[in-house]
Amino acid sequence: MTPSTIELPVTADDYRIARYAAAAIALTVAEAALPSPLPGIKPGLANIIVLVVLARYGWRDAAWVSLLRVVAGLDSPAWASLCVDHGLAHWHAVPLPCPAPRGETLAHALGRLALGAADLHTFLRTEIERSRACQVPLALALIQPDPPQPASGLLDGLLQLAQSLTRSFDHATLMEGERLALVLSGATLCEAERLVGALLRRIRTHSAGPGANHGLLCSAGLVGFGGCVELEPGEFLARAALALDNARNLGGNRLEVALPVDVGLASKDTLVHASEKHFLFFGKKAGDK
Amino acid sequence: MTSTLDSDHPGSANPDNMAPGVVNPGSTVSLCIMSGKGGVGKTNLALNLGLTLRDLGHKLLLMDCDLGLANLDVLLGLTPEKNLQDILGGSASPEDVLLHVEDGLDILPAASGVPELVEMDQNQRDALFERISALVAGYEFLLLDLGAGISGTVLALARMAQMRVVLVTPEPTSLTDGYAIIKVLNAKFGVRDFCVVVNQATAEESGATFQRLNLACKNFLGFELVHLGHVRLDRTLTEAVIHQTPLARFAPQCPAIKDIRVLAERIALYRRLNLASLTGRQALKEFIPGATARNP
Repeated sequence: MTPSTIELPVTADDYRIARYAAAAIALTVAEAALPSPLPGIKPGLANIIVLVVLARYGWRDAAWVSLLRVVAGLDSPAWASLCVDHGLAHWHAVPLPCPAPRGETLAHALGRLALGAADLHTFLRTEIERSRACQVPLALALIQPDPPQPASGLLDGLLQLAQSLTRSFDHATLMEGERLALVLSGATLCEAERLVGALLRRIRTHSAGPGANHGLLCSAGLVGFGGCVELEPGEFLARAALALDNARNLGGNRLEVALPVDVGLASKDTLVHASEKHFLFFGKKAGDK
Repeated sequence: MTSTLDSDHPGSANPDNMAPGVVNPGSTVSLCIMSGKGGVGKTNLALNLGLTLRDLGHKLLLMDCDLGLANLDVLLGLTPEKNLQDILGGSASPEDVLLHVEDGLDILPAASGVPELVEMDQNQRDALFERISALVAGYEFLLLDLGAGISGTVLALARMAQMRVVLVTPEPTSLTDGYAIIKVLNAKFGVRDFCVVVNQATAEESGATFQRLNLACKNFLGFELVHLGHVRLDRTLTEAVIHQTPLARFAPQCPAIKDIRVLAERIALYRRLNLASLTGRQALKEFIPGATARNP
């Protein structure tokens, strides 16, 4: 198969912006090499370049130069980390180290978009905020066939089955092409456990129906949130993934329920410790004679 | 509708005519009574302290903040038709809900059996205080009888008051819960000023109980408490409750009321000593009157 090549036309404007951005980066590097009279304070000489571009070519070119001089040099993992740290993942952001974005990052962003992972993150964030504001429970289940069957039509079938069996306001999506994520809004851990358990049973019987060679076995990890603590979607997903891993490590074909998130993340700042109780009861610290 | 506020009273200033920097024209002192643990005598102390302060010549408003399970009105043998829920719902003005107990003492009763009111959110709290702020300005003291526990409403109200009285008994359970509420208020909101009243205790027991609590706060939280006093165990109180008559009226010379009188004198002294500075401080801290008014 002949590899295809995409040629991106480069205009004179692109070259000009690249030259100014390079000058700004060079100035930043030079400035970093010089000791500053005031520790921790840098004059930011590269901004002069941005101002020059702003005056000569307008705000659009200045914005490009400003952006390119900041993000130049970031490799793909660094960019991904920046996106996660600042909650930008759901924007399908790509770095701009050169006029043409890096192929692998673009492919990854498109992949996330196609597989619904970014949407799931955004949806989870909204549901977590709703749970916090209204103090309503929220549950998340991750379901994966035993053994994993990445990017197969089987998962699409599972997704359709889950969508047909869950409540109308639940959200089912495929995640990273190998597992099914179920967001059960307003469901307590008990309710979610019953629902996911029923779904796993249906998957078994459904796939073992007429025409099927054998029953499909799945593992599931379930985690619940009561809206009492601050929670990031990534943390919620990680706990569900851990429960799923536990289910698979225990032999698969089972549902593992993680400890409620609120308990694990509750602040210990206000806890009355045993040492404090001892002091209140006996008027001295434990161990003091 | 007739307002119960005495227009000649120094506290009943019109906020519109307020001098610059005067945010508390009546120099109203807000004081909350809390305990963490239930059943230690918060409501009885609030009511009898209110009556004793009134006997000392002060005008005060007693607000039942045990929202959802209120019983201040029960101790007085009153059966109010309206309560704080009606103020919140907009179907009654604070003056409509106000119960005149004696000259100089009014109460704002709360609802019983309404779980939705136990956890008031910020909007509800702001709306409630917006509606009663003008009323509060006419009193020298605003006594808040808080509910048990460490719910968001209890913590928010305790944080807003100028004086916080933690009521404990010598029982370890009460002591632990008293310490817990102090720790939560300190850790979450940085509150460090608490007065302690030891209930159902002799002077000696009170001293020992306070010492333990104070030393624990000093050792683990890094600040000390103020010992406001104690109230002796008095069997007459049970009779007074059964008769739905406040102890201060049922047995005005009983030992418990004598102790409460000492507390009242100390609280009145605090107001006298801080009269000038009180006009520049909100009666309810962190609440800005007018901030939530739709049609000022």
